[in-house]
Amino acid sequence: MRTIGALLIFVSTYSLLYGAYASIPDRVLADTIYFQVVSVPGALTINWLTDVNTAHAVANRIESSAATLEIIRGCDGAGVLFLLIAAILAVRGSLRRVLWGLAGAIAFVYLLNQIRIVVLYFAAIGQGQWFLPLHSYVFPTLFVVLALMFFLVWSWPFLAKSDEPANSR
Amino acid sequence: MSQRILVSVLLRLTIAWVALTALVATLGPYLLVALRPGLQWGVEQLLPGMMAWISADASGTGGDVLMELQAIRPLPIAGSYVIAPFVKMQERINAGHDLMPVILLGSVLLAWPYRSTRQAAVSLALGAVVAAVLVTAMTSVHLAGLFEIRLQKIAESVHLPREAPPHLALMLFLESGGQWLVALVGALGIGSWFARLSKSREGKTGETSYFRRPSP
Repeated sequence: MRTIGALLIFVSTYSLLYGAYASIPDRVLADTIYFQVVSVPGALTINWLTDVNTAHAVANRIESSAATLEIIRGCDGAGVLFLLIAAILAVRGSLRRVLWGLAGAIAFVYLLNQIRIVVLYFAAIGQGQWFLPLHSYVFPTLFVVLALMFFLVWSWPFLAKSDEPANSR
Repeated sequence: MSQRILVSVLLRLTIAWVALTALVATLGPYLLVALRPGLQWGVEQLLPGMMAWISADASGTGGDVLMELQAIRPLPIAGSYVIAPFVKMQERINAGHDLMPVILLGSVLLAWPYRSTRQAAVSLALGAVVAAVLVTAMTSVHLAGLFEIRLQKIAESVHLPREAPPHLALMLFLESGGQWLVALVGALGIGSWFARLSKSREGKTGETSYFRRPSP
């Protein structure tokens, strides 16, 4: 019964978050959210790494003379973040632990996504043949596997507790 | 779950992901070629009144799937606009995204703390079947969804409304992370099912499992 409850919380939280995300207009995502949160920090990181000011943020794009990287819906790490948030809430831990989990999940996914954006930019300008596999399945699956690891480590105290023999409780 | 098992699961998850990513990079396109009849069937179910021919390219960067469609009767687009029979249309996709369930489902199932080799083998065999079904279903939805976007654009260009079929919403959901959700739920479902089976058997035989420490 506890498992079914957790599964219901997981699916309904994911659906609610996905519904809210789907209701954000594309223009707001591109011109405001992606620009401020993804493109600007991405371009700054690329310029810091290359030591030259070649990349600049334009709405949801990171542009330079060598390449243009467009961040669109689905390429922002939101799907993985929703999975992690839904899983953390489904475990029903203490408020403090859940809040730490959620804050950690947001920071973790954001950092991973920024690394992904920067690596994809360099793949686009240097190793063109790597761009498609990296973008199609290497990064998305790596994201999910790393998110799963984050969840396993975060939820380990609950898992350890729930697997203790009944007579030791 | 002890700390030792947690570390072992994390390590196996990493190794499984690396191995399956390499496997999909090399054999993924061949998998799409093998699933061609299923894709054709799937697309025809999603696009009633259309005949589909699917070809998958196993060379080059791989993962490219070409769909040719032909209406078998006049099919309405919007208003009086129809797709005439015998007109051939094409849609080409790179199905790299649609191969993700193989990596995710396989990684979770390979990292799962099984009780026996037999249990692992049965679970992985079931996982392979589920992964093939998921790749077929997701690629079919992807192809049909892209074709629907084309029809929506035609309707928009002539300022006529066109109702969006459910497979368009499904494609958008899958492309926005739903593929991960479905693959993970599939893997966790298979893994938990076998764990539950082994627990109930353990209850009958008194054997111990990874999940329960033996009483002193």
